[in-house]
Amino acid sequence: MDMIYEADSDKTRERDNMGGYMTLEASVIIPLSFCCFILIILYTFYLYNHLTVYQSCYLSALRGSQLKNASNGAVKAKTEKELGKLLDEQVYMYQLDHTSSVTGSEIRVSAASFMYNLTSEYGLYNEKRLKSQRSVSLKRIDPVRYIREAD
Amino acid sequence: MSLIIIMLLLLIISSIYDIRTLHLPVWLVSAIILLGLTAVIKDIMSEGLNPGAQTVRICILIMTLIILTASEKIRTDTVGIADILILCVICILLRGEMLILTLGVSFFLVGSYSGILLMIKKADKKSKIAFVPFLTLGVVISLMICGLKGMRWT
Repeated sequence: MDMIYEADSDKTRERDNMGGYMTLEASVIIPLSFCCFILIILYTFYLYNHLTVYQSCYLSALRGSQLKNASNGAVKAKTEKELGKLLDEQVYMYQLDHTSSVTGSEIRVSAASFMYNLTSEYGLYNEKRLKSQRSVSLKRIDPVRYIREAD
Repeated sequence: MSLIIIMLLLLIISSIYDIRTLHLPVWLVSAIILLGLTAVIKDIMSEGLNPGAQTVRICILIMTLIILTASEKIRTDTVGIADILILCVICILLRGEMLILTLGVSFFLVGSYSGILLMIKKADKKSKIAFVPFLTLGVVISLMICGLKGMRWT
């Protein structure tokens, strides 16, 4: 009789309650898989930004180099404008820092991105840690200025 | 502010139930789900329909409902259904950064506790422990670190 009563009470408990437990095995495996997923997501952001920064540097240097018979200042302004436009449109969740230098024969562009949005605003995360930096140098297509500076 | 207090209160009551019996009453889980729904409705009313965030939240809600309806068929002994539902509600309620912090803290705590139990051989791998107290601790710690701005509905 006691057995039947126990079975009935178990059924009642099963119906009125929901399991709020986790096995030890699961509680070790789930945090590990959670960390792996978070790291993969962070790494994909980092990789995407790294490649975007590289592509933007190259494209802006190329667009700057296509200006014919222009002063170094004008080429630099054009390069930085293009770089800013490209990076603002494409880089996600990152803070940007870029510099460029132009001589008669060469355009050098370098850009870096730092992660800022995830937890850094709460002071938990060092924003300079996931830094991705690329620099590109291209020859200017301006033969007259090149020959003058070479002399 | 009142919603935060209600959420913390419900989580603390759930933790007490969970520690005592490893089970949560249906009314308590339903109250937590209702709280999640209230927060979403309040969010939509104040901010309007925001395609990205709203879509994610609606997906989580649909997932919760599917789990709820299919719980009898897919039930396993690894993780309790109440834990899954409360996790879904927490995912709806918190913002991205705070959610990652909350889940990270609670999983780290529960993982460390289980690891210690396994190492000193107090329990085997099929033993069951309460998860909601660790989740409550995670929410409290992330609230202390991030403040109220991590919540969707403050």
